[in-house]
Amino acid sequence: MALSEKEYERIADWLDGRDVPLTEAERAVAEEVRRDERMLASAAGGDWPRKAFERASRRMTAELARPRRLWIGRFAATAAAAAAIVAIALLLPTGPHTPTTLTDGGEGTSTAPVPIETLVEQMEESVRPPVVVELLAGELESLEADVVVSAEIGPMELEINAMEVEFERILLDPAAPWSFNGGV
Amino acid sequence: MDQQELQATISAAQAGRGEAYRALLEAYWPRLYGYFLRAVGNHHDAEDLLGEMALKLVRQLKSYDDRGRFDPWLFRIAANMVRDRIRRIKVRPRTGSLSADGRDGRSLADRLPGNDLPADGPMALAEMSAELNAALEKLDATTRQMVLLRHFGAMSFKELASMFDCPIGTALAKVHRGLAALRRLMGGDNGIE
Repeated sequence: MALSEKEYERIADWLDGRDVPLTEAERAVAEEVRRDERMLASAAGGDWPRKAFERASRRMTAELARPRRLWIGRFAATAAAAAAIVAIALLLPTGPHTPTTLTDGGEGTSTAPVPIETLVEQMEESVRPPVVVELLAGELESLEADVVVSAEIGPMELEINAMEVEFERILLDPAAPWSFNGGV
Repeated sequence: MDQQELQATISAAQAGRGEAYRALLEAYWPRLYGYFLRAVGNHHDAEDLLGEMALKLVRQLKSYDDRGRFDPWLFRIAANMVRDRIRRIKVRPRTGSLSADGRDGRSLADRLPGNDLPADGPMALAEMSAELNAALEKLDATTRQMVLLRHFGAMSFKELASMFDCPIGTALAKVHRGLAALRRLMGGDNGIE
C-alpha cells in the first residue's frame, strides 16, 4: 500500500509515542512496522562474546590512565629542570663579573679570576643529570607503574600534585636567589 | 540501568571517575556490539570497533550535554565509525584475510582455537544470524543503518530524520520498506516469528 509523505509522518509520530489519531490504513502500516521490528529483535539479538567487552574494557582503562601518565611525565620533567636550574644557580658567582673572567666574589677580598673555559666546563658538568635526578626519574617511573593500574586519584597523587605546585611556586618566585631577574 | 541511574553514571564519568566509564561500557556493550556486528558483518571488525568505541567514550563524553538523550548520542558516534570502517573496507578489500567471513558469518580469526563464540553456538541461531547478515547486506546503506540504529540504538523516527537529514516521513518509509525486505529475504511471513 502506497502512502503519502504526510501519512508516513503521522505514523512516525505515533510510533514515536505522540498522540496522533490514525486512519485504519495508517494503523495497519504502524502495526506492520511493529511486527517486523519484533521479528528483527528475535533474529538480531545474541549472547555476544564476553571477550570483546573485556578487550574494550582494557583499552578503556589504558585510555583513562593516559592523562595521568602525561601528568607524571610533566612532573618528572619539571623536577629535572628545577634540579638543573638550582645546580647552575649555585655555580654562578654573586659579584659583578667581566665578559671574560669571573671572581668568586668574597667581599673585600680579591681572588684570581676564573677563566671562561673553566666556567663553561663547570656549566656543562652541571647540566648533565646528577645521580640524584636519575634516581628521582627511576622512582617516578615506578610510581607511574603503580598509579596507572588505579583509575582513582589517591592521596599519594594529591601529595605529588601539591609538591609540583610548591616546586613551581618556588621556581617562579622573583625573590628566590636563583631567579634570573633577581640578585645572583 | 534506568534513566536516573544513567544520568548519575554519566555525571560521575564526566567528573573523571573511572568506574563510571566502565559501568557505561558494561551497560551498553551488548547493543553496541550487536550494532557493529550487523553493520559490518563480522565479529573481527565488530570487536575492533567496540574497542575504538570505548576510547571515544572516554575522549568525547565530556562534550555530551545531558539535556539530550544518551543513546542517540552514543549511536551517532557508532554510526560514524561504521561509515568510516565500511569506506575503508571498500577501498582496501581484505580478500583471503583472517577477518574475511565464511558462510556462517564468522571470520577465520573468529574460528581459531580459543575464539569460540558462544553466541552462535546453537546451529539454528548461527544460521539465522548469518541469514540476517546476508539479508542486511542486500539493503541500501542508508536503509540498513536506519533499521539497525532504530533497533540497537533505540532511536526514534524523529532522531533518525535529524541524523540522516531527511523528513520524518521519509525515515519511516525507508525503515518500513527495509523491514519488509528483510522479512521477505529471511523466509517470508512463516519464517522467523
